[in-house]
Amino acid sequence: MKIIFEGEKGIASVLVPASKFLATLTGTDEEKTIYVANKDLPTGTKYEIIADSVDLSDRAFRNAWTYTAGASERTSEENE
Amino acid sequence: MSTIKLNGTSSGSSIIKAPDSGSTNQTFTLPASSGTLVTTTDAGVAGITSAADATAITISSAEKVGIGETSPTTHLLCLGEDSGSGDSGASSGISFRASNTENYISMSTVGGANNGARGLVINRESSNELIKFCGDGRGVSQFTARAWANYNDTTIYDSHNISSMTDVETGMSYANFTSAMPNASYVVQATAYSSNCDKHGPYIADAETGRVKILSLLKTNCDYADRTTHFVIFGDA
Repeated sequence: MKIIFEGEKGIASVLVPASKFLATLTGTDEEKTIYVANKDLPTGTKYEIIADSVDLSDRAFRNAWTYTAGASERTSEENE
Repeated sequence: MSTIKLNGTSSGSSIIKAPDSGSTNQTFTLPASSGTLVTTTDAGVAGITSAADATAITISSAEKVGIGETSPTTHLLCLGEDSGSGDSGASSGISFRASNTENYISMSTVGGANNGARGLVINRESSNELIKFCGDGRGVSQFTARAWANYNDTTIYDSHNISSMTDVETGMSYANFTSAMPNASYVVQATAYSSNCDKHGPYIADAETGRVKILSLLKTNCDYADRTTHFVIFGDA
């Protein structure tokens, strides 16, 4: 799983969890991904979890992506 | 009769006394050859000196030895003196010292939030840390890599102490550290794979304790480009 969010330049950024770090965590894949989001995204960042199968290779499309609504949001400081 | 008194040849005496309870016909066999029996608080036996008034070394029925541990679960288990509690506590362990110096090297356990689960630390004297093997798999010292990764775009091929990579845009990523650096004065050495001689060179920016930005630049036209990039980071322990 990966995480997409609106990055510092207003375009789509992708947070890619490291598999070796995920291996140290417990829980479902989604729970592990949420843990990484809470750890590594700036507080208040809205994000979406996407499957690894989603094709992100089209840079032109990603650079046009903007966040709209309904995303998860990092609110916790617990992992900082 | 619960005691036997043996008088010395010229003076003094010794007494052999049975325990008041708990012993049933215990037999103590004297050695066939000559020797000297001593108490454990006197001089010791065959080069062993003990002044302990409690059990210091335990050999279990499974032939496992505990030092300060009465129920050893490994062949040799050393129980140190704890400071702190649980996995956050440090425990003194084994020390080595040359006979011609007062300096010593010690191995102790270590734990806590910045060290991961309980690990091992080697110190010169009591507080000069040489290297620390953290329970989360990191080896922390001035001469061991604090983090490294091999990645490209949204793929992390392998990594150490990296929780995630943030792909900001073409040729621009953040490496997010699993365990934060103690300061932002660390060194990053990065290089990139190129198969078409495009004079590609990565560089870094925004070094923070929790992450560092790595950018991949084409020297021919200064455009950013996605390339498989390798980096390794050294810094303060």
